[in-house]
Amino acid sequence: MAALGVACTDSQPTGSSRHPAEPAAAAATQWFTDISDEAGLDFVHQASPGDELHLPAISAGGAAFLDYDNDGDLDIYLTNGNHVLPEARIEDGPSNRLYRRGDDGRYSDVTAESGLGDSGYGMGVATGDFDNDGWIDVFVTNYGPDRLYRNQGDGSFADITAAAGAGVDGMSASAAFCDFDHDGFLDLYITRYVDYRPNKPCTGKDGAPDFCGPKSFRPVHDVLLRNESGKTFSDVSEAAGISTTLAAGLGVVCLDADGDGWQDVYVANDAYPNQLWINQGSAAPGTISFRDDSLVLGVAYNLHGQAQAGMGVIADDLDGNGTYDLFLTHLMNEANTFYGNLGGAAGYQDLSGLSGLGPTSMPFTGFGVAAFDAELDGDLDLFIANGKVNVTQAVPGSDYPPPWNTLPEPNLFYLNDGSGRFNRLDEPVRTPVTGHQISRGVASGDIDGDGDVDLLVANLQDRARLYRNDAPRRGHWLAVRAFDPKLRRDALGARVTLVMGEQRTARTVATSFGYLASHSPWVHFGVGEARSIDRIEVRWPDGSDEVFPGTQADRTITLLRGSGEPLDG
Amino acid sequence: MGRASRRKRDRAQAAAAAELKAPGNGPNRRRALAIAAVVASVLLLSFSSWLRYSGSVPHPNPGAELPGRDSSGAKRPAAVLPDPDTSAMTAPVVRAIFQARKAALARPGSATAVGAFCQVLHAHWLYDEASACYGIARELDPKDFRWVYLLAGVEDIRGADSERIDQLFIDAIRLAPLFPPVYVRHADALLRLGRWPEARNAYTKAIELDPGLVLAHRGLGQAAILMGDGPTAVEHLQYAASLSPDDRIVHVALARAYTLTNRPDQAADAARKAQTLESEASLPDSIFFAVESLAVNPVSLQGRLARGLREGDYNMAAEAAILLEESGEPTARQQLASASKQRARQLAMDGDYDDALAEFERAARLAPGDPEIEHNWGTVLLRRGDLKEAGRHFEKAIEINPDSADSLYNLGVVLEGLGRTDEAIVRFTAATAINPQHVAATRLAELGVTSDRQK
Repeated sequence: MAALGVACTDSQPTGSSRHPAEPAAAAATQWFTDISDEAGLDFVHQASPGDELHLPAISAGGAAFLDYDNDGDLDIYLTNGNHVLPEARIEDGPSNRLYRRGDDGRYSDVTAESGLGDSGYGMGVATGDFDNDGWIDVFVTNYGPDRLYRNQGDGSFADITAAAGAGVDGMSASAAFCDFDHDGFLDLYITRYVDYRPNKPCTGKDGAPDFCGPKSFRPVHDVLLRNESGKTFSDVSEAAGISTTLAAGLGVVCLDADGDGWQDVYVANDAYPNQLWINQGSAAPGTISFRDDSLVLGVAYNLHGQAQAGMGVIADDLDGNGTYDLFLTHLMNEANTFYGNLGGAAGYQDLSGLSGLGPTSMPFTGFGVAAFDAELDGDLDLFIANGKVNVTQAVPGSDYPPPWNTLPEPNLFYLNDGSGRFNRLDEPVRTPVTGHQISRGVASGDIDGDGDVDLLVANLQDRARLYRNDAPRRGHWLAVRAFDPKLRRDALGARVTLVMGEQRTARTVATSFGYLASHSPWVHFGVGEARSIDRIEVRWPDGSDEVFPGTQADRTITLLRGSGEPLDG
Repeated sequence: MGRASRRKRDRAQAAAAAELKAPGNGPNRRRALAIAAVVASVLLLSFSSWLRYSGSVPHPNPGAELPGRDSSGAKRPAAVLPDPDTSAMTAPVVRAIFQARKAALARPGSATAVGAFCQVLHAHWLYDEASACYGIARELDPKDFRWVYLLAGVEDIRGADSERIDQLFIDAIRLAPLFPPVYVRHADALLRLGRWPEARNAYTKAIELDPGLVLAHRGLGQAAILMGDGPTAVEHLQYAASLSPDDRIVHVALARAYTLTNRPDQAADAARKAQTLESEASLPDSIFFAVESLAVNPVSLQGRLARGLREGDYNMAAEAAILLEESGEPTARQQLASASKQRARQLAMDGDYDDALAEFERAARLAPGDPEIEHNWGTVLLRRGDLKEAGRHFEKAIEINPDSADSLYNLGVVLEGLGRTDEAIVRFTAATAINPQHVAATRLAELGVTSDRQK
């Protein structure tokens, strides 16, 4: 894949092709099946009861896969809207919902008993066990005060926002649980969008009333909450050096960009340059400090030097060269951007055109994004949730009320040819039932335990959709859970590398990426034709390494830190 | 004190006290004179247009087909002129589309008329419609460079098939091989498509035609970065920076180029510099400028209003403000009124009373009931010796703002000048009551009015 990064001749780089590119016409097989009905997922998002054009209403739509009851399967949490104006909020109106997955694979609404029915204007959700008690907690971002819910281990959650000092007001978007100071407790990075003023009217380029863009409002800074030993949080935004950067943050992902063993942060900003906050390491115990290296490393602006409308973001090895690449979704007429990692101090290169991900996305407005190996051939494919943000002409056949009938778009699915070149598979998730929707957050995880990754898509003003992965299988798989028994939680930030002969495939344990979403902490590998794995290397979040012996493919294993042996299931 | 010297002193005092309110700088006088006449006609024209178009707009022959004939007269299948749904658009945009479409339909076979309609669609980001429209214009006159060039630009932004975009630019280049911007836009598109070497060649061609073209050097530098050619990138980006030192994008690219050539200190400097800059060099492209100038949506109009006010182009500002008001932007009139007020004041301070009075009249029409305008208007009339008219404006100013000691004082000066001293004393007294330190107190003392009499 080095050829994709830098080419010095006039000939076009070709890239190795482990797997021949799937022709786009291969969509004859339905790769994803909408199982929302049969799974009993009846959630309907309500962006706004009126037809007022409020920015939060088109920015919302969070989704999460989480195992809140520790029964080994993935439950679902979805954020909901309400009236955007706090004074007009509907009592007992729409609220966030928690769905529990039963043994029969059906989801039941357990919101009432869980206490997770937050009725603020819901934006996104981040999940992580912040107090290391073995039960996953939930952080909800809102237009309005955010909420931290502590899992009490009995199926219920307690709102401990105030007690934990986790109160953040304004308009938050994506958030991420990551351990930035190596103290074993998950800190919380919260992107904040703009200083939204509901009474500001805006118009589009055609002069018609429209949703405002971020530049219509004052930019704000993100918030970093340091976890104080699992009990409370402290706002260390200023001390960490992030409070002087004002922008319009929407997406966030943690990654170890410089390979120094400390978690860095990449933030996708809407209409402002992105930030790559490089963790300076803990100069003193309990301190967190960042420096923005986005510009010199080439990930602040696209190849033309333009700030784009960053929405969703992922950090993963899309071109198979063993490094973290970055991929961001953007506004229509901008193209999504793929920043290929050149390795080391060379930084990143905008490879959107070369990868095929850029030009093909020009007509769409992308939000949620998930990278996973759909057909288990060994590389990461991409699912992108789309939906416009500007009122235009009504979409023919759309039965949404105005202005929503102008916003639906098809979602996109790209197949990786193994070298970081992607081919779009047209309308993989379209069914006669769903049509085009206004999609936002996407959560990924294996809901049925069959080894491939399924998807949950939040749609504005519509039902959330659960898509079962029915892609034609082209290989074997391994699902890995990296767990730290001392911390009693998933080792978020751990880097898991499968070694199969000469081939090494690495993935990171993460729940927070994409857009307003939280994902399964399990790491899923497609391993192609390999029936077994020679060994598994893990770099734990504190930088220490551990090697586990090999195992057969097509199974799920748990790697307990310090145990040296993979466990089944 | 003699009567003559007292009159002289009075006049000086009045002039001193009748300070023009609110400091501000206006445009230069000659420009203002030229603009004023235009603004007046714009006001009339635009507001009558508003009356005509603020209701429902008659539709120019919906779904009409263009006659199937090109510029050479040859028959061809009829093409349907795009007909966007304008129901939610602002009146100026609707009018622009309506008029351009009507003109296109009125001139069958005219690529220019159709193309003009396409440009209006393009200016308002109706890209799908613009694309179809340029296609028709191009068919009608395949030799007119503009239509294929603009079509290429629209298709590029729509994310059309890469081969189609490429071919359209190639066709455009064939028609205008000496026009540097077409190479830059072609190169930009190729860069986005990942066809870096071709992009580099296109930028190089643009530089051959215009060695001082910033965007061509910048683009070539960016292409070189992508191709791993650090030295070439640095060379062209440094040159671009010398041509356009405040171009943010050049410094962003330089930071990358220095990083790739292992010059971290210079990279950090360039990054720091980029973060302090906001401006971006633009492509000197008359064809695309012409499209942008047609935009009458509120976003573009706000930009034009701000630019007009910033650069003292009052005509541009006024036109934009009027269209903004028509678009339902209530603050536009205030912004214009404020600018008009400042300009009138500046003219008055420059001693250009005729123009100042005309400008005050305009400002008052834009912001009726503004006491500051009435006061300053009266002050200029007072300076010109038109006491009666001046008094009327001061009275108006006092009616709106009874607590203005200045207006009361100036009215007093007027009344005194008209020989109505008792009435003047009443106004001076009132001004002193509001502000005991006001010059009106001095005047009262000079008139021999004691505090008892004031009471």
